[in-house]
Amino acid sequence: MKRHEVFEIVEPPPFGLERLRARMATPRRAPTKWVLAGAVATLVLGLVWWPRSAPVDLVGATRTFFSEPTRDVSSLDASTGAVLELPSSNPEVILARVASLPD
Amino acid sequence: MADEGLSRSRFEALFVKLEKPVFNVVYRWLWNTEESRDVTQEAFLKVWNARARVKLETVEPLVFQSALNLAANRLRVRRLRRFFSLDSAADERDPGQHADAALEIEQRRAKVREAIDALPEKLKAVVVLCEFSGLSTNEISQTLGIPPGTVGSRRHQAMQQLETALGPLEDAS
Repeated sequence: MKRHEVFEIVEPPPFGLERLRARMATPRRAPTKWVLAGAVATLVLGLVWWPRSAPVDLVGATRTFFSEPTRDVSSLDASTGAVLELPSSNPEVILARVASLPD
Repeated sequence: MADEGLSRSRFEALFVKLEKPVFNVVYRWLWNTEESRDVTQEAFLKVWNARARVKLETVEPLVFQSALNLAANRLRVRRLRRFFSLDSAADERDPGQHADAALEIEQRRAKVREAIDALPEKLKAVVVLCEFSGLSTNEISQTLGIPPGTVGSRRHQAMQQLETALGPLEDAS
């Protein structure tokens, strides 16, 4: 096979420069992928830096639950069971012991 | 006053000079006239939009680099679409290119296309740039981000693979 047949020069379609000029005259749009990337980045930053109340001490609350189960509890009776509210080291955490009563 | 940047007139002159070489490089990726024309134009537009950061001495390799990236991306999208059956292989055929071509020429072109497509992308980029871009070895090495020696060795490898597929390549006499 001839080399020029393998590397045959193909002519581009006509009016390439005119088409390019027309495209240059068209105002640029922000590429969608950058808009999307910006939105995702904002969302991630928002989730990371969003101001929160004091962190909930779940470990401490659990420890209290097991170490001081009977201190200063109030009780709520129900016809078929009882709910005992247990002390919690964190006011945002309510611990309760639920027991069902036999019929 | 000397204009050191990429002015509009320089850019248009660059397009006139490089349109055909860039188109021919891109065509060896996409094998479709319309798509190759679009990608060629996109490559030039990318360079134009980045003109504030473009150095005149490296603008030609930059155009080819953009064109190669865009063509490779376009090909990946096409393969994905085909994988998900959104496109059939027939969609990428180029009716304008082959409509009235003789059967023998058409068969030869198909064979050439198959051989070029079978090249690993790294070898293909080198051989296509060497044959169509008009860039020097140093400029091709700059375009592809590889040492000039690698350009030579990859070109040699690519030509060997093409000759294995197509038989010995004779220079026109």
